[in-house]
Amino acid sequence: MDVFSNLMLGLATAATLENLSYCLIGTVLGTAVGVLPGLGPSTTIALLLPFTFALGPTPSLIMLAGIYYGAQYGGSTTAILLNLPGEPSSAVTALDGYQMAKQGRAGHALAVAALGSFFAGTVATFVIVLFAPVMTSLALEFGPAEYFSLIVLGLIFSVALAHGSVVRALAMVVLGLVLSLVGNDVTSGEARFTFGRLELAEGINFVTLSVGFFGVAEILRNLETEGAEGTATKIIGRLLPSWPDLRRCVGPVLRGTALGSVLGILPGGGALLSSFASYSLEKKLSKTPGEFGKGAIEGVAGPEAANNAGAQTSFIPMLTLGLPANAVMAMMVGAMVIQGIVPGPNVATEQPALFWGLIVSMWIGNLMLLVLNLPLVGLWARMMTIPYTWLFPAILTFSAIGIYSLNGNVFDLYALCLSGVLGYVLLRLGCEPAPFLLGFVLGPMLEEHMRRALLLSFGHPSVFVTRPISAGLLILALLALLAVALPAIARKRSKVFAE
Amino acid sequence: MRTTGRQLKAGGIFVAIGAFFLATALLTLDIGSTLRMGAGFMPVLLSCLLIALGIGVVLERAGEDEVEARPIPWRGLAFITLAPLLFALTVKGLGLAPALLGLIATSSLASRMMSLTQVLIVTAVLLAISLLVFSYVLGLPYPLFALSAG
Amino acid sequence: MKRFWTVTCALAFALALSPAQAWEPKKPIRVIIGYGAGGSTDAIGRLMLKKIEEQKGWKFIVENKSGAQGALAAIEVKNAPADGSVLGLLSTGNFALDPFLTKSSQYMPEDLDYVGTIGKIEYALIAAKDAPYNNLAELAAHTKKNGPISFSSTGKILDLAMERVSDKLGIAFVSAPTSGSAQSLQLVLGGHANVTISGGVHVPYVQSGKLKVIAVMTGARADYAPEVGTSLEQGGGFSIENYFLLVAPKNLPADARKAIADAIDDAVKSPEIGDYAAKTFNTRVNLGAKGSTDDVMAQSRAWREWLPNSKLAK
Repeated sequence: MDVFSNLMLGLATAATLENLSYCLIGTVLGTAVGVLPGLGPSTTIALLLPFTFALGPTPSLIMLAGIYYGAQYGGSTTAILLNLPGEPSSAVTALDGYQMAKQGRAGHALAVAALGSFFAGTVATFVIVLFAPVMTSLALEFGPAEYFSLIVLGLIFSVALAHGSVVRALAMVVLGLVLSLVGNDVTSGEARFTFGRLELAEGINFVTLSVGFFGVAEILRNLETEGAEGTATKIIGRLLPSWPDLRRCVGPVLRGTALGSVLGILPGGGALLSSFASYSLEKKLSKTPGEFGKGAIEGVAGPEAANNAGAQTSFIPMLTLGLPANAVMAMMVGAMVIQGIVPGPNVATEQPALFWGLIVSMWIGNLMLLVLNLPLVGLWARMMTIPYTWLFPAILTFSAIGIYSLNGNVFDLYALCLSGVLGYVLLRLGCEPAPFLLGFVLGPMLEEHMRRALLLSFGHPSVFVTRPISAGLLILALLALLAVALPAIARKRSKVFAE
Repeated sequence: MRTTGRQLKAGGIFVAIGAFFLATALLTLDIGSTLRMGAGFMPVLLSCLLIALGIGVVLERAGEDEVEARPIPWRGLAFITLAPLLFALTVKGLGLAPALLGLIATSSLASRMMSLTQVLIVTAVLLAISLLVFSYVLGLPYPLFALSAG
Repeated sequence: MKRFWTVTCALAFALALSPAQAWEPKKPIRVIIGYGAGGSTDAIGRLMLKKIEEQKGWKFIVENKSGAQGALAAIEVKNAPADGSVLGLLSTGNFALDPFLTKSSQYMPEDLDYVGTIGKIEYALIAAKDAPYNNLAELAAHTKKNGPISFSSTGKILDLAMERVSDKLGIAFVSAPTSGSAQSLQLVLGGHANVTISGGVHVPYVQSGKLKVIAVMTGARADYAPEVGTSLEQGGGFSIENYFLLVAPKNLPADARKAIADAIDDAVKSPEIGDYAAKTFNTRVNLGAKGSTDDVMAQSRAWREWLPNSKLAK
């Protein structure tokens, strides 16, 4: 079958009234839960899974996919407006997006995120259509050694997420890695640092840490200056970005889309790595790297495009190999199984209408998101004008319920308090949370892949440098480390960033 | 070379956390060897690295923004930490609605700028919204009032 | 309205048939599933609960608690009131094996009531199509000549199964644990690991010729690869009998236990569960309350006897 007839089949499937409405329901619902801190797509999909019994396979998958990328979208909104990243990739968006919002440019950040995401989603859809088989075999080439090296590279990149001291950023990365060790060790099954608490067996919850280190710490930060100045933000100038603003984003969006499309196919963190690889890249290429972290529009546009492209292409391993890229996709695989479709290499040939219908519906869903959300940008931006004193009890309340609903465990709430205080203290001491969160997310994968690679190579550490892809990635990581460390050694680093 | 108080504190936190994890790992976990790593291998490696970086933070040349200008909002800190704790302690025993009431009221007290009337308004509005969104629309499986449920 | 009539009819029918008043749940039954939402256990479990809702008019609230390899779910069921208001869905290995693998398990197989099974997981030892061995004997010969093979393992029970068969036949292997069967499959498909034991997800790949079956790891040969012998036939001396297992708190009242066991049995007999099990390459089977209790106890005795010989279980 050629590309054109595949697309036509997909369009014919996705454009029925039933499928269009489920796509709409999914995207709206996804956006809504994405906006609520703590309540991510996985909670929602778990709640909704029983309802999909009644639907056919195609509408139910279209709806679940809609929830997934709708939630990504909603998550960016919360990250930009409230500095509350509900998932790892939004932590990157929060860096500059929230600063822009504080400066009264929330509308610009939101609009650029929406447009960048839509563009990336469109390109990624075509990437799936044209290259799915090729990319599948590339994903299979990635063994434990390659993953390990890719993650090392990602960790080095994450240093660029902080401004100021390299040593502090590295220390925060390693702090994240250390805290990620809590919980049962995947390789041996042994409990580590759980002190007999079963709640810790699966490790510390990401959302808990993220809300603590970003959300709660930011609330406390804002309470510092309370009363000294007007806490409400005023919208500066026009609501939507101007042409020169948009032109600045063209390059970042294009590069982000490319990064996301390629890295998205790697199950487990591929899409996430792409969003901060994009951030580091834009900071490196920028003529004014000092603006990053202080409201650089490129720092929103690039990572958002990368993340959305990655979210899209991460469907490739799920559809062609039955390999879920993350918890949400695992549930979608479950939904397919419930509908009697066994995910794997046969889906595209045995269920072409479902396969292509889903892909086309992802593009339609992205279009819907754009149409729905651009008018909402003004409304969201105006939310920033609510006095902060009125806003923060809501942030804390929604976060607490969201976190409680993850597992129904009050233990997670104690962890929230603790991580909020620790995050605030570290922030006061000039240690920024973004590298920490990424270390925390990538930590388990780093160890798992390293140990798996060594086991599978019967204990030969040379596996990391004898496999070409792995060696290449490690060389890149070394170069990246030199690139961030050298200016700091050569001259006073703060001067570089003072510009 | 001059070391500021902030560097000392930040480095101290990293060293302390690193030392805590290192000690726990050495006491409770099997380290193994490079050939066959035990569960304790990475913890020992990473906590040593954290301690080293903590020392690095202290020794690093200070930047020019190394000043703690703003006061710590003690009142905020107290109430913001207390609110989720209160929620955690009451949600199982009393149910979602009373626990939320405590959570919202306590957290709105964190601000010095809120008058009593404002606290009441914020509490009422937020309570209504959260119950509507979480219990009614999303249907989270937690009872509103727990005393009646067996 | 239609539902109302179904429920009423079902109730009337039940009342007419039973001499004494049959037990009915007074409120929705909480079902704690020890695996993540969307996993194979979750999927077949939800399908069965939906069937019971249709057949009996009961209501269920499903919670997924996958923490600590199902231990959290098992402990929660153990500590719940024994009145039929809480059930758990896990697998045989969670009770017959897992409690003996940790020094301080907070539950033991005797701590719970077993009320039935939905199906049996059909495991197979698989390798890439071009691997230079086709059965266990050839695998043993291969490792004697070329050194150990790598085994990608998804869960302790599969690790120990591989160890038992290997000890018997002299296969040398190194085990690399993964966190999911899809991941293990990827390692074998990509040539990163030599073999893995998989429960169903491999079948499409066997059919499309990317993977081959070395041995069926359960008691009977598989329809999709009828020419491959079971590990018992090939002299491996062990087969994995792992069921989707329904559990309840200890000392359930007899009437509740019987009503629940009957409800499960009726649901498992339905054509939907049969179709579904066939599509996911598992076998539909309900051992019943007594049968599943006996099975868990027998398997736990067998594991306890064998565990001291194991090098992989610490």
